[in-house]
Amino acid sequence: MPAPKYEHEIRDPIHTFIRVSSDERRVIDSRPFQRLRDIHQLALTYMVYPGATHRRFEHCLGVMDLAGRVFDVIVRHPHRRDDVRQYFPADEKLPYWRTVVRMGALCHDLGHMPFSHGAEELLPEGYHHEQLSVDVILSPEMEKIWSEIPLIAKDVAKVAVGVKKWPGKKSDFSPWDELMTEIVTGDAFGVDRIDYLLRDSLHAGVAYGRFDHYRLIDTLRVLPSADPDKPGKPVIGIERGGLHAAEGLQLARYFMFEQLYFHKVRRALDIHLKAFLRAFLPDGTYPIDVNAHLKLTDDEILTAMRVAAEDSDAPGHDPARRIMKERSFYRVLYVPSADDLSKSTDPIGAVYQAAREQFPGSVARDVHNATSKPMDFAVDKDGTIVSSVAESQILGQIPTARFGYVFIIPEKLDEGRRWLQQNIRGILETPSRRTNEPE
Amino acid sequence: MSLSELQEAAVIATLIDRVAATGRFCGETLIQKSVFFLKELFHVPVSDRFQLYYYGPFSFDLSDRLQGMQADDFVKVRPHQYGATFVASERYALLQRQFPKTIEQYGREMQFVVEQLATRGVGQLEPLATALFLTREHPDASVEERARKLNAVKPHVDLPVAIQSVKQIDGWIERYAPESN
Repeated sequence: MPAPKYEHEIRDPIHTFIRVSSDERRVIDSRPFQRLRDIHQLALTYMVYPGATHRRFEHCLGVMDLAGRVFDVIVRHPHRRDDVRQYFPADEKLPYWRTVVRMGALCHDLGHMPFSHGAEELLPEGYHHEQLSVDVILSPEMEKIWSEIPLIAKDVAKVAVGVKKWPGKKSDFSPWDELMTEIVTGDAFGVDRIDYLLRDSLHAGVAYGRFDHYRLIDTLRVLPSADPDKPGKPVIGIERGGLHAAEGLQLARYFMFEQLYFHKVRRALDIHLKAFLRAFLPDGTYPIDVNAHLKLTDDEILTAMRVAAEDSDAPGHDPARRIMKERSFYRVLYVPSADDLSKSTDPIGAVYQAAREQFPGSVARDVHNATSKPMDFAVDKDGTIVSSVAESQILGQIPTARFGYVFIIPEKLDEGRRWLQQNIRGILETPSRRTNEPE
Repeated sequence: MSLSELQEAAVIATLIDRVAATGRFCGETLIQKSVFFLKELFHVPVSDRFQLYYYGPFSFDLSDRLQGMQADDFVKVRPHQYGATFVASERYALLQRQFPKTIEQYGREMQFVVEQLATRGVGQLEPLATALFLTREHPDASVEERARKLNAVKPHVDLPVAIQSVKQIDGWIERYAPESN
């Protein structure tokens, strides 16, 4: 298979120029990919950070560009250690895998429903957007493109979603397959993460998301796992010289979650958005049929919300008017203090339960933590493999970003605050029914 | 009977605390295998779903749960020469105070983990946990049949080790959970 020609250039605010082959251009021009122009990367975050209007479309181009760069670094012969050399395919197969990795990166978000993660829980039980990404990649519309390149569609789909979200058997993944998807979806160095931190940081105007990704990528290597529980397993790690860049990435992620992704107004907006969608969508859930999925974007939802905001009889009128017309979003009633956390296993649950009984229909809660493994990855220190947690003074100390809020509608905020002030001690000292041990 | 999310956290944090008290390395693989044994050998009602993965049964649900428990400060990781080892954290005391009966109820099962699993490396845990997985999937299959299946899904586990592992599992079921035979 000849190396692809990169005949097209797309300007990008993060990566300057993203070079694209004609085969990749076909995918970019396809209906499923063009739809990503109408899916906001950060849902309604732009109502808080006005610059955050960027879309999944450019993020996916950026992820593809970075995936190609990482692939080129890790497969270079001088970068291969003897103890993992056997996992690399023959050189003549590398152009195929490079194309697969870039295509998988390009297509990894094809399954995103309107407003990205903002209302993902409205998918039917057990479904997630990665499953939809696989469905779209394997659809007849995309299969036609893959077969003409030619690429095996399943290889692209596996790279796009990774082992954890792969709807088939985990044993479908060879060690090489796992390395390829780790380039895109990896917890420590996945290029999806690298691009979204840099891009969201730029557009939101939140500088915490920056880090030295050039240095990081240059030091990535395929290494044997440092984990004694996984002897010899090939993983993507770094040379010791890249450790500070890796620390920078993890710190950037922590701060971005705390500052941007878990912002209280954005979380309140998500709750109103979900309330609207439950009323607006048939059966209150997003469609999982590929064609129906591809027809639905942020544009349709925003238009429907505008209409519903003006019509008091329309389904979802109340959340629609709060978002589109009055900006009367939920306000924070309660955030646990360190003292509260030392007294109760679940202070948010306890306050929410009590507030819901006091103000029925007027409160909501939202609890979330940034899911990511402890940043324990392999480091090549002068030829010896060591654990990043043992080698770094910082990585083991970075807390897991977490938030928890109890919200109340603004009309009840003052009354709610007075009530909470009078009752908080009693609420926290009495374990809630949800958390109490049954007799 | 089902456990609430916090009761499950209490069981898992106690398990981690008791393994850590022995001074042994308590990495995620050991926790994964231990919780799998609690669930499938002793029928402790933890909700995490397991499937066969690189080193035997693995649960992404449990992996996510461990991160949540770190965020809640029920457990934390400490640097170790081999990597991150889990220990109970400050707020684990709240779980102990709130769920003493739940923790007491599964004391025997946790003792099994400390004595029988924490003393083994992943090289031994992998065939044992996979043998238990296959035994639950094929309850009527003979020792030989299950050992061959184990060897088929884990070719690096040779047949004699596979047979030994299946027999060990049968012995533990007989001893600890005969009603599930």
